Amino acid sequence: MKNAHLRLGTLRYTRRTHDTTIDVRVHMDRLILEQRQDGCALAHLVSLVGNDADIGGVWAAILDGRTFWLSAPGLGEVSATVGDKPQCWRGSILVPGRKQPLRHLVAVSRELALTAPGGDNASRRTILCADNPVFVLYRIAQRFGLPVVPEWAEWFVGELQRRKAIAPLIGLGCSPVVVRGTGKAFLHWIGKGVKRDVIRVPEKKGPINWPSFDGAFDPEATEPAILSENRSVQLPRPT
Amino acid sequence: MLFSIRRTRRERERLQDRDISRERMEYYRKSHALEDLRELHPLTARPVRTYAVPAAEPVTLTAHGLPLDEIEDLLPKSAAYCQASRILLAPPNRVEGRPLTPLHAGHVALLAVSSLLDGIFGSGESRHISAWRSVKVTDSSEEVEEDGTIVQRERERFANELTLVFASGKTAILR
Repeated sequence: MKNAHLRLGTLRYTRRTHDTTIDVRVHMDRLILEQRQDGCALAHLVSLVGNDADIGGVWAAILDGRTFWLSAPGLGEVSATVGDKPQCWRGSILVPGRKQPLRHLVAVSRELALTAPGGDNASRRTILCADNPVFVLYRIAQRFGLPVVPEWAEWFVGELQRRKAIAPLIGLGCSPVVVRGTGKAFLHWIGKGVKRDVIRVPEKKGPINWPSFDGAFDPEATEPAILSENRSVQLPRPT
Repeated sequence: MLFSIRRTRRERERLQDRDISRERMEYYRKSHALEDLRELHPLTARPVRTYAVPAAEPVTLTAHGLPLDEIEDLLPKSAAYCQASRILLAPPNRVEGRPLTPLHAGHVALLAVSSLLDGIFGSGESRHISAWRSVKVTDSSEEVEEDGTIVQRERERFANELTLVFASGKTAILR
């Protein structure tokens, strides 16, 4: 795709010591941000690309729980942290025409990391990186081990909205949401829905086929205006 | 008018605070020398001298920054995203093909608890959807020794959990 500079954000990390100043800026292609009460935002997901030294410095800062500045189209500049015990992965990207490969860093907050199957089962919050109804139902079912079929996705998301259990988060390159509720509560909703004949167990026996969600990270799959108007939030600058 | 040269990244990183302080002092000292320039006559609308700008070839602008369009296309295939997708997307397990030999009860049990046999089973009122998963269970025990010391033990183990939704709306969690 063209005009990537209009879609990418920036992460800036500044640290001053007695004799030197570190000022690192790297490009950011994915972001999930949640505003906190104390004014500092919590970044659940950051995907960064830059040279080896810059990514190494930012990686150390993230693991150290440091605060950095994030800017994205429609977001302004906000200070954020990834929180305690984040999970990080690094990779290399070979760009044609460049001698050195670029480094790619994906950092995920502890809360988002625990949404993996087998994570924190008693949690009441689930952070999801897309708001597609089928994806929301699939990830909730994977996390809490719920027996569901893709045909129930629209009903399930409608039920979440009716009970105000789903809320959008600030996202760059994705449409993240937070879903509130426990596995037991969701199973209770499903049981009631089947009893009332709002949803039905399919007649056809066999495995449940879910669509592939590999395209969730394709730039073409995301909305062109990265931060839609109702998600654009100007967070307060910390004092 | 102020002319300056931008430092390279390496020069910027080698720069120390004391160098900046020294340069600032030098600039301050020189700025006092500008007092003499106040004797210059102010500019008027009529030019004193006209300098002709020579014609030149079209300028070619070259971007030395990162090729962001190409990087954006390459990022989804990055190894970092592949590893993070286990958490972000949790791709479904897909099992296809036919086993070489008939599956025994043990094989079926292993596949079932691995969540590979989730699906729709039964007929009539007993038609249901099943979902298996592994959960971590913590067992706690407390012992009081002869001298009154209380010893608390916690043992973590993995257990299998089967969740069912029947066509009648009944739900069940079997452990």
